[in-house]
Amino acid sequence: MKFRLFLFISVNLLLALAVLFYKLAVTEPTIEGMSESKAQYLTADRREVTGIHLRQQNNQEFGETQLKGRWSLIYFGYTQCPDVCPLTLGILSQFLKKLETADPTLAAQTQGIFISVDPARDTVERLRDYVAYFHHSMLGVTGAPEELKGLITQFQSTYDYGEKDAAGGYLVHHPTSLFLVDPQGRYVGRFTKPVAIGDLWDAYEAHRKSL
Amino acid sequence: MVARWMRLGMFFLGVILGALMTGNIAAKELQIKNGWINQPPPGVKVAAGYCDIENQSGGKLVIVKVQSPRFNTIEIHDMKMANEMASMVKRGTLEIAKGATFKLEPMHTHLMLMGMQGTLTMGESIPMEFRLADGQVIKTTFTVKKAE
Repeated sequence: MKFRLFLFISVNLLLALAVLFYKLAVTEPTIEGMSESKAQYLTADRREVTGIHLRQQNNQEFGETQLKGRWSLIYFGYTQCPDVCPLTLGILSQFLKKLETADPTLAAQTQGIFISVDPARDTVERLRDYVAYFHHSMLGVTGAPEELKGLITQFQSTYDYGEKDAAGGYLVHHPTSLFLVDPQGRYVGRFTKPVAIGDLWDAYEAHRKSL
Repeated sequence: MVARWMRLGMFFLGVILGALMTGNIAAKELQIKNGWINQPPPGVKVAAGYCDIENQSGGKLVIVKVQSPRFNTIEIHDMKMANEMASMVKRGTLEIAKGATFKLEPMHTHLMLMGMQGTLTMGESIPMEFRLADGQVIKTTFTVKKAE
């Protein structure tokens, strides 16, 4: 009987330790004062984003040079997305407009970038019209699948495609986060599922001040 | 004279019964409110639709199909999140429990509107039809807006 009790306590203790270890291992630092539900994470290591070989809406090259000297808010999606992409880009657009009014200097140092992970359908010409609908300064970028995979991996994320329907259409599964790159071209944090302009505003301030 | 009044009475009775047998009575049981469509950017032929669906009937109601003359296909999609990745999962039907309100919302369950005919202008009213499992059809309109 005592052995059973000892075994029961030991197993539970081990389980509790395992859960504690897991939480410590996977939890990323959050910005002080922000609720975990907002999940505005900073990255543990500020790694420079490198090896970018994409094209932007004016068909010019888009490389890591375009990420230097200003803050970049990057979103990965596709133009045929009906829900999360236009909504998130709408929020990003409002954010950029608010920044233009509140702090023109910082606005000039901040850029919104939409990277399509659906290059088969999203040509640079289509991206040009698409991003202009949201904000005059927003960049539309895409490129070869291997280049897109290489880039999104640097943000510890990925994307993939759903099955084709009878008409050849398909959905794309993609991250909902906005990724933040600092003026040194380093990936420094992400905004998870930003659903409110106020949250994004506060988080952007907090991110910048924390660096 | 009496026969004339009886004929008139039968006529109005027919009108009332007819109204009861069409969607008018169903519209009181299943209310579609605050319907709107997020205006798609230029060149995009898909959009998302949102609304509040209230079941005021005495039992559950099941939506089996949504149609609009402005779209080739409309599907009900759930947005699933896993590891911060968004995936859309098609629903066959949408069941609304007795007395419940189901909200079709941005970044949650929504209508996926595909194969748009022409373009949607801001403020335009788009006709929509919700077909129920019992054969009733609820007609409504969704307003084209830009998400704010």
